[in-house]
Amino acid sequence: MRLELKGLTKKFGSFTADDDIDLVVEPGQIHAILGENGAGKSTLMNMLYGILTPTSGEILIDGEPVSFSGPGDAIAAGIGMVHQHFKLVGPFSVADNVQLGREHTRGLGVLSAAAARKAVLDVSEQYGLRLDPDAVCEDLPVGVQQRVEIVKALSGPKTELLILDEPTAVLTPAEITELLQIIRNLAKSGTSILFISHKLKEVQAVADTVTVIRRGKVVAELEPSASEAEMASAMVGRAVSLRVDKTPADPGEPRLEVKDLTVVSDAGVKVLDGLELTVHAGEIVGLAGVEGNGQTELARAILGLVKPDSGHISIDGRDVHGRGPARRIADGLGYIPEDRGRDGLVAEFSVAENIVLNQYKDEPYSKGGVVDAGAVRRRAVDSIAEFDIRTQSPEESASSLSGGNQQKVIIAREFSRPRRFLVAAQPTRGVDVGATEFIHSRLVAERDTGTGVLLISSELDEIYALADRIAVIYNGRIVGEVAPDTPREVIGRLMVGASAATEPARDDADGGDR
Amino acid sequence: MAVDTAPAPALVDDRARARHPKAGATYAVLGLLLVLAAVAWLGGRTTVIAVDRTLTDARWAAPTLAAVVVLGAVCAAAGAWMIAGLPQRRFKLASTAAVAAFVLALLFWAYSQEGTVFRAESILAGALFLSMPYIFGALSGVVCERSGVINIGIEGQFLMGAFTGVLIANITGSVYAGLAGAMIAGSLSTMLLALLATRYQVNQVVVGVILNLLALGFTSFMYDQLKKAEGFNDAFSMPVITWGPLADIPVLGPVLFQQKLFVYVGLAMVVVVWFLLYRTRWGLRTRAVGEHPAAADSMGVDVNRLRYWNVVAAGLLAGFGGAWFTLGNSLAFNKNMTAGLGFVALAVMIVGRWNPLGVLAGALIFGFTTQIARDLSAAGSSVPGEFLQMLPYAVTLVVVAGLIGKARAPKADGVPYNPGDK
Amino acid sequence: MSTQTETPAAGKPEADQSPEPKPNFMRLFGRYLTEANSVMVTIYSLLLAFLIGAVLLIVSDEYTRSTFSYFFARPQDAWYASRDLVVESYTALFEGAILNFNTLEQYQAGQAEFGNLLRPLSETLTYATPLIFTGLAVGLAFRAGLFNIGAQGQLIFGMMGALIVGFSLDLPIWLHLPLAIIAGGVAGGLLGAVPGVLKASTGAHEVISSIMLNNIAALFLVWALGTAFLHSETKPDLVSKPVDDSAVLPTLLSSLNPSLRVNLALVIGIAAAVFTWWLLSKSTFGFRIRAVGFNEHAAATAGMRIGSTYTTTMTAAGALAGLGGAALALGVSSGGITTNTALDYGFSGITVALLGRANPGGIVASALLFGALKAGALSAQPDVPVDISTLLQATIVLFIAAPALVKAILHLRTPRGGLVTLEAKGW
Repeated sequence: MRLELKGLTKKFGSFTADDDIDLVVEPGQIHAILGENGAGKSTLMNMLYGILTPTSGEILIDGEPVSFSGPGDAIAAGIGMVHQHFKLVGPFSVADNVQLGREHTRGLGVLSAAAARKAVLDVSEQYGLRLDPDAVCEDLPVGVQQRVEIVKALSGPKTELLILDEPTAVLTPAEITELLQIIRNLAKSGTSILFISHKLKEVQAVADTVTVIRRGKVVAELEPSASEAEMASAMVGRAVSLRVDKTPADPGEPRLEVKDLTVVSDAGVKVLDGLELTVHAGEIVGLAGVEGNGQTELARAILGLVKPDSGHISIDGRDVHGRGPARRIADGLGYIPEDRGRDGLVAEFSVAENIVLNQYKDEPYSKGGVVDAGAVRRRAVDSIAEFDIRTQSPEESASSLSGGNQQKVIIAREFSRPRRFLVAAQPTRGVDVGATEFIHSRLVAERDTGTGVLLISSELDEIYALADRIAVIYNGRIVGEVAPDTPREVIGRLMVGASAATEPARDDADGGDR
Repeated sequence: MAVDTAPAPALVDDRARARHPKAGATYAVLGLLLVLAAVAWLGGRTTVIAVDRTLTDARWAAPTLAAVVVLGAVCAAAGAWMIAGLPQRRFKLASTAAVAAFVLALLFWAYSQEGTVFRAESILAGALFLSMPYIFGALSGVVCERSGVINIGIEGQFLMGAFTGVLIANITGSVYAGLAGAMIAGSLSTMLLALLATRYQVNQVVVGVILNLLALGFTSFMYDQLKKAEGFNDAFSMPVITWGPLADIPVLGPVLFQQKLFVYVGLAMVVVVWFLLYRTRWGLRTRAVGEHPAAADSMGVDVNRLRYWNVVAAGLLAGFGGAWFTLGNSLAFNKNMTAGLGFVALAVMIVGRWNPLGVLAGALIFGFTTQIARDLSAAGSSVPGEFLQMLPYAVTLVVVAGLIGKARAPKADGVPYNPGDK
Repeated sequence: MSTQTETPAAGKPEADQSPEPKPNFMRLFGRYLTEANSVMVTIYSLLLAFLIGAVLLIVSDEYTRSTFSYFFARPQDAWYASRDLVVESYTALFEGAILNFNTLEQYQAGQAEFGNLLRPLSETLTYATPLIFTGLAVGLAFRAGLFNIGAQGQLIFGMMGALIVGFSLDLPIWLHLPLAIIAGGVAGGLLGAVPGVLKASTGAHEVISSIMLNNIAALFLVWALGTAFLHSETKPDLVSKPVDDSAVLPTLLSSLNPSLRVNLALVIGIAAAVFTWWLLSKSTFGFRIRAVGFNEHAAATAGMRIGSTYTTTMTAAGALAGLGGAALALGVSSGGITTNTALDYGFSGITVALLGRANPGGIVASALLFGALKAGALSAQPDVPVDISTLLQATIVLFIAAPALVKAILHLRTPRGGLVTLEAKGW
């Protein structure tokens, strides 16, 4: 299929998400779209897939203009999409997920389980993507879930264009390698591929041509041979250094000691499995790992939101067992949650209220159970100046701020009170480059004042830039602690549970699902 | 494929033993209390059971003390098992046994009074008939909520069905036209919910509560107005369908083969809704939309359209159930005559875990307790009927509190879907 | 959040940017009137509801309906009949709730006392009083993200608690009355705590557990009224003993006219509203309630205890509804409560809270409105069906809860910041 976009534009109210996008995908071509978070990539793909209607511009398939009123039209036109957030119905079997929307029936709408199962096996055989059609999706590992997504996308009546939206976000390096191979094979067999990513290395590895989008506009058309620096500067609009200036760390006494920590989830899965970790005063320990290997639970256990099933956590030399989050926070635990919208801010509250969200009970913000609005406001005014939070006033609701400024509100909250130890989970996710630099420098400054910092990040680059020591988490355990100059490949191997010293197991015989 | 060499997440084996101290302690204490109370008060009493219709008063007498002690012990033992730890997959069995034993023990106790006889055929037949509004209401709830729309307005749809059913029957002179009218009224009132839930994306719980109030206000208002004129609200009756010789089988005959149309339609609908939900394209899409609407949307399923029509169809069921109150019981309409049974139907749906077969079980239990409460207060029992009537509500509290396993609603239940959001 | 993406109309931003020639007062006012902001939605909801009520009055009235049968022959008959019916009905409501014009004439002619003139208002305030309490009970819980549909049961428990202390103790009035009132609050609070505790400890949805507790409370009352302890010693029907004189809420205006029933409970209700307002907007507890109500995850991350917030809020809400029960048992029904005393005050509390948008001030205002509807409907029956008050109430709050519907019907503009609705979470 030859796909052409002409002047595609999407506006939400006065905000222009995509502005006059021109793009051509040749048959069998792997076309990468590169851009930062929030650059307009997902909006573009949602227009292509019929989820959103373009404000203006047109989409041409093999020269014919098309218009989609829903994903059904896009599927019928031969477009398949693998979404960034998997669109799988958890309790459904693989076969049911694949047949959803184009069910195999025996007439009168009665389902034929046998036909659905066979269809999955056919497609998975044709493309070498082995799957068990009867497996329940929510029980499958993410890598396999993604395979289900790909099979689903390829099971359309005539899928000739496959859109992959940030497909590697939740995959291990080995899974990524495998996925890229699958993509190459698909392209070889004639399927056109739109590959959306903000990761330069993957784009270089797989793409035939690269289009860079910034703030909703196409800013560059590059060859995959272009240098990383060239791509990065096109993406962010100016030359950026991922390096952060910092002096060697001077670690002091332990500020966080985690011993033999085990947490079992509601579903009965051991999400943390005898985890051991120590962070000292005056150092940043970067916790690397593929998302979903226990990072979230570790952070929540340190804060006290998750009760350990066994093991100990000591903060600042004291066992915190039996102390609630409020007490731990009061004792000097800083916490930047990974999901800002969910855990970090009360969107309906004002900036000022959010800044004192975990200190509203302390003097001077309240006395005798009564909130002192004046004191809260004064504090907010100070923080807004110090942390350069772009807001019209302290009374503005947090929801009206941009992502970067929302994150600064959280940073201001955590950095404006005495603290001994800081958990920073994905501190720059969805934040623009300027704010990222600011947050990075604050984290380093924080370290230099003697605070122990645990940096949890799924971006290896961020870990490399900031960490004085790197711990790798896999399947709920720390599988290795290495120096910050350790090569990527070594950490990559650790992230999939292979030992750092030996080659990763490349066992192609063991496909399918267990 | 290196991915597959990664060990699967360490799932806790469902045969592994798990403790349930809270639930276990509750059952153990309840069971022991029963045993103690029985020993203290029930010495020398007997419980009489009779087959009253086909075999005209064949009677058996059972010693109450022994029965209650045994059942109490079963309940306590189940509790103890949970405290000590039991395989996860046995938890349901243990809690079902504990609750069943407890309820049976109460029954034995209740029917041990002077002059009370457990007339098995009448009571069971009555129980099945009384469970019908719960079945229709709860099935209506299942159809809505499986597609992700919370329908707390079943009570209101009952009222609309009950009122319209008798009104249309009066106008046309046909009880079947009345039934059709009730169904249409039910679906018209859910149509408002459907519209608000899909097009206007309002909070479904809040609107459901308001729709109940609206239906109550509307039917009461119209009742007062129409009462001024003759011939709008006379009682209509429906025939009992008797299945020839099958009706003479002891116990089964009176219970299953001498009932009104409602019972047969209700039982059929349980099977039909189950089949539709789990074996058809509509069911697959409905469940997908209730669980993960964005996934269904990305596969070309029109989420809000499906929800809309599901809710409207659910109104047909609830409206039919509403007609049970008037046409089914040969009664004229009266203000607020559904008396909160729509809320019980909602509870039945939750107790039945959004599954038609579970709904059937829950409805039968609730119908049974209602029937027992009526029967006992008619017999002048000293056991306060109010407490028996409370039983379904108490059982529901226990279920939602998770003492009998966790009831898990469809994931997107009550969450409006806006295709623009991702 | 979703309201922005809902209407990606390209026209709107331009209209915003175009510099208005003179933003004079009339223009801004006109703009305000055609915008779906909360004030205008409230006003339009009231208008629409009364309009719908009028239509129902017309179609359900036999005589008026008959004039429509020859509509094309004599349309003016249908028009006059409809107009008269609607005007008469709504006037009857007004006269029963605010001011009776007959009494006014009599008063001006010197045939009636001033106290007679106040009677409709006194009735309105009397019916509004329990609604203030139940409205606060629902509204407070709303602010914590909880839908307290159980105010009815909590009110019944409060009634019983106040009643028991009211007739069983022998104390001087300055001690007896406060104790009886507090007993009502405690009893309601205890029942209110149950859904809170269940939600906090097991995640059971408060709507389901409150519905169950409503039914349990109602049945419990039926049983309790039949026991020798509570049952009246003089009357055979299901009535309780009367409350001792030392526990009866004093009336406020009976010196003017003995028929003016409004009593001290109204003052307590307004005090409760002021306290609730203070609690929500000034206290640290209110800060926590609001944070949990908006985003429990962020609140938990900030160290707030979610479970205890649910429990305390539900207990406080139950106590408010319980006070409403005490107001009934020690006030208008101090001669003995029945299964009917609670009417539908608890359920109406939901509508009061919705119309008042869970703000204590708004709750008092909407309690007065619905109290007036109730008083008006009761005095206007049987000429006007008494349930017109329920019907109007439900219609008003339906529009309040679905501002998008009002906006669509009247083609209003989306205000800045989107439409305001109240949230209660799904199961």
